[in-house]
Amino acid sequence: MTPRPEASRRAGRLLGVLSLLGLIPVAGLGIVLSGAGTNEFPHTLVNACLATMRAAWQVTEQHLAMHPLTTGIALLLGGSLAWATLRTLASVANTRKLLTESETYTPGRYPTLDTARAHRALSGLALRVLTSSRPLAFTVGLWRPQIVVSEGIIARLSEAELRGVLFHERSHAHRRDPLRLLVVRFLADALWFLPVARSLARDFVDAVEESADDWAVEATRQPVELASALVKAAKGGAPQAVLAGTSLAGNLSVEDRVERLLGLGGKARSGTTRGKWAASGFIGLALFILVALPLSGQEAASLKAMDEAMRRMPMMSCSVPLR
Amino acid sequence: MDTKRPNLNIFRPSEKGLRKIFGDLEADIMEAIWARGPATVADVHKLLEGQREIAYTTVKTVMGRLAEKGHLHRRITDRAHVFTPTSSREAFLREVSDAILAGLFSEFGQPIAAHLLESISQWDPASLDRLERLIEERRARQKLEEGDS
Repeated sequence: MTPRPEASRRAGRLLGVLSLLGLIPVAGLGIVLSGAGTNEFPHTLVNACLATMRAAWQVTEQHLAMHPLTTGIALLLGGSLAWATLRTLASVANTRKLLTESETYTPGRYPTLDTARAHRALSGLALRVLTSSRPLAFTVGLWRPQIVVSEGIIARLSEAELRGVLFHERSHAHRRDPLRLLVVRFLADALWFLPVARSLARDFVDAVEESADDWAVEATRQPVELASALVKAAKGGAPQAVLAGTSLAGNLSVEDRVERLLGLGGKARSGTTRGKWAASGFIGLALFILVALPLSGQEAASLKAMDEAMRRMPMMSCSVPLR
Repeated sequence: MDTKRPNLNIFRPSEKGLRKIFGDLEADIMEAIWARGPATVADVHKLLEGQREIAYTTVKTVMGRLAEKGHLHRRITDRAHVFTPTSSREAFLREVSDAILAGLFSEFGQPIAAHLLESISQWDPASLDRLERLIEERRARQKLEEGDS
């Protein structure tokens, strides 16, 4: 099988598109807050936060009186960003917990793993072992990705299959896929109101998996062994039991991936349809108009006057003067 | 005999190994019973006495509590209560790890990890059997080709 770098490029493109869509809530909030006196250079970080909060509250009050709908939308955009941020922080904390559950791999304890890892390209791999009977293998860690394999998967797979799995995970580590997944999940959460966002995120997950499969096949030249590893892991019941809570799963099934590895087709079915793009475009445009229009006329002048008034207000300072 | 499922509700993420689930004395008692096999309170007390100063009644109370939580079986013989672990040390640690993993992945913010298998779609066992057969055929063909060359 020849390597197919287009999966990797597709993942990059999807990440780019999602990042551009992420500008929608940021731009919307920016427009609302633009006349609120925060453009003055802050003396301290605390002052900046206080000024932003005060400005946000003043604007919310002002808008609520004049345009309840616009205010609602601004709150929705801000709430979405806050929700996505909270979920991301919780994910980072849980990721650290997950890492502490595993132990650093030490040669000698798992002979199959020792032999599989003996390949020159895998010798420097940051590897951890998880005490779990489930057949699991994943890459975790945002800045320094590490590969975690469970005792369950080591027991089930042959050396060649395990080597394929290690190369697959090495690809995730090399491309910092956990970090990219974090960004994609954040954007999918923040843009929940756009139908296309979640579809793009799912397509991204598929592209990442296809790309990691291609990397492993290119390195091992043994697509059949990786396909066999996938079937064994699936039969072991890994995803249903452990990943039941994973909200961001791709459209690519194990069957698709195995067939793809065996050269029998098995292409990912993209869920990003024209209809979803059209609906998302309509929603994005409607939000923009509803947020931006009230600021373009009389209300903008009113906000400008409020901004002037706020500028004249003494800033609360928490800084200690430097000698 | 008490055969209920071990209670894994108490979890201390900052601790290591058995102490994630057990208190200090509970962990020492479980280690002692796993190492020794079936034991009475007096047996365990004798083993622990060498490591720390501890009252017989304290050991009895804690072992009773471990039996209530489902970690020990209590069998009443003519003279005393004999305790045996409900699972091996390895099986217990695996069960704890699986429970922690399942808990982590069902929390509000799931850990960020690139999994070997991301899909949660329910697959058909028959379909997996078909793929397994295909893989075996492919392997057999590869062997033949290697033999020919």
